Amino acid sequence: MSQRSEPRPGRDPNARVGDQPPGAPERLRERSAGDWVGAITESEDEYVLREIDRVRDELAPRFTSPPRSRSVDDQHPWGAPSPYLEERLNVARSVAAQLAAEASSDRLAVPGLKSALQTIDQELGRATEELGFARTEVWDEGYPDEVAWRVPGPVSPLPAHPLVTAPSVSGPAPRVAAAGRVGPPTGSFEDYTVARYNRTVAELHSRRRPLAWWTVAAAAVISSALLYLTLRAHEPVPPIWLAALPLVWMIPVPFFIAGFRGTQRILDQNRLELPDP
Amino acid sequence: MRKRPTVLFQVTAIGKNSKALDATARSVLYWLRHTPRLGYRFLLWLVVEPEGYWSAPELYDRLEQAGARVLIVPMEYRTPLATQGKARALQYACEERGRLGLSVPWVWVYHQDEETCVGADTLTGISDFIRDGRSLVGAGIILYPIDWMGTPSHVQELTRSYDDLRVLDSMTKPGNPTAGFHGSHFLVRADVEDSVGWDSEGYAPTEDLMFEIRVRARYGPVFGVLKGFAYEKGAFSLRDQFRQRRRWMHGVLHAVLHAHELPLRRRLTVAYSGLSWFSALPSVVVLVASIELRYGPLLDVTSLFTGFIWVSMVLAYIEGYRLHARYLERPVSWLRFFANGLIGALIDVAAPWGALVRRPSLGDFIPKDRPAGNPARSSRPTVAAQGG
Repeated sequence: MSQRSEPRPGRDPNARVGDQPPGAPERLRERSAGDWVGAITESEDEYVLREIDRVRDELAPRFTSPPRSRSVDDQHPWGAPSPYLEERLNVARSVAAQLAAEASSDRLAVPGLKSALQTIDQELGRATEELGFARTEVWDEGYPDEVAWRVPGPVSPLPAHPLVTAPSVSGPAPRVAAAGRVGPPTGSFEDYTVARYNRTVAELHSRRRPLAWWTVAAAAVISSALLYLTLRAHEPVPPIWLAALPLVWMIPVPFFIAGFRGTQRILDQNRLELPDP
Repeated sequence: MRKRPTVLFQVTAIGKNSKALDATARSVLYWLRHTPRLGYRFLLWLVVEPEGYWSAPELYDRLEQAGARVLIVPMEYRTPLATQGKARALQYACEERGRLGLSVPWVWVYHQDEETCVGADTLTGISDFIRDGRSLVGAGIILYPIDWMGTPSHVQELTRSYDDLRVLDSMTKPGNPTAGFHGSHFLVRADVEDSVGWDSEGYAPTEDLMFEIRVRARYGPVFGVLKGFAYEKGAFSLRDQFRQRRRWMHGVLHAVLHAHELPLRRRLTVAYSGLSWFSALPSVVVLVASIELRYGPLLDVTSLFTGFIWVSMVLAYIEGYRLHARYLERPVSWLRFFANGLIGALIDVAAPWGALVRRPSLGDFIPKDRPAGNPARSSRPTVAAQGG
């Protein structure tokens, strides 16, 4: 409990948007060890209630009218810079307020408390990560001079694109999407994590050489067996039209060889793992 | 210093598979919400036909409330070259981007089909690709774990994931020698896409192949590997599998015969890829006939390569399954896996020949919403699969 109510090491308390009450971040930082010793001696209930009140105060709503619109055309033609930040803070605030209300009415259940505090911690953590990341990013919001950076020019003469002159019928006016919470996930996509992906491709990389050797070895064994059977059969030379039929088996051979080499090459030259976000 | 990029997640579809499309859109929104440090702005566009929208208007409205933008391709919309099908909708989206000022170098378009769900790895892979900045177009590996039931068409789909490694290698080579590309799970810079466009004369059954040909012809080898999987679902029936593959072959034939931008060398490689696929059915016939007929000394030569081809084919099933192992709910027995793989392979063998006896049709799209007869199951992996 006490660990969750303290700011995490490395978190910037100022990351909570700038309209906090004066001194709030300082209060978070300046809690001395003596406070914690005192807290241990208090009754657990009083301590929990006091901490909840403190979290609620810190997270009290300060936006009079949160933006509801995510208009593509007007406000953010290239997408809102951080559309979930306020939502994260709002979730944390509402959970803290709910906790405070339950605590004051003696309806506070310990399992619910733990879950709620985890939600607060998680949402604040993400908000802090997002802010910290946005501040350290090197993107320039101004118009870049080197937009064609590392981009090769066309390698062939540009054909006149038919769209340049031809009229087109415009569609319905784009509708403004309102900001709303994404509902609970309905499929299995919540399982598609970076960790799972990384484990899968790491194993694939580790199998690359064995796969190559086993493929060659198994192919050699099968081909040798077929060759042995063919030689032992002592078949007479058939008519030419008949003899040509098995050539159809040779058609995809270059394709399969290219596929085998390509698979080995792409795994050899590209590490597919991703940094865990 | 560079401008902060925007990734436009674009789902382009008829829109009638509304459940699949809903899951796709929500996977994007869910993981954007839960991946705080991506480093790009984002937009989500659902580009659908009017009949798709009217099949589930409430659903589309809910998705708009959640942050998506629904673009309905007007019935009367015509491209200059009167292209049809998906290419028409893609072209419409291109024009919308131009109208909104989004055809700029710092906007990237991530293309999805209506059943292309994303994960945290997909979004992180996109971020990684843009930061790397060496390529203008990227494609990655697609898995097929959604609604996986171990049927023949689903087992056959596993091989496509392993084959994606071949696809990625070929795509990143200058001439794309084995004709590899995707129609979904690819990322392209908006100005590049919009400069090339999707318009073509009539109906292009595989518009993705035509697009790749055009980009390569105009910009050269600007293709890179996109890390992170996309998560899709296979055809629900053998009939759907057959129709899907037949459409692909229609696309290959269309590219060889009608893609004027295609250099001769590239035309030959695309034609050879198609020929390899066509050769599968005669190969099986000749193999069966060899039991009765005696081919004699010629087998001394061909048998040298037969083993390699057989092993390569079996390997695609095994490795495809291992790639999916952490994502599949229903492990199947090896016997069933083998039998279903054989049936699925026979469909793939026959499908290209079906393209010769039937003309391309706009009705060749296949359902992606789970059939009503199959009860919904969570695709959460089993404990065994998680540990594996």
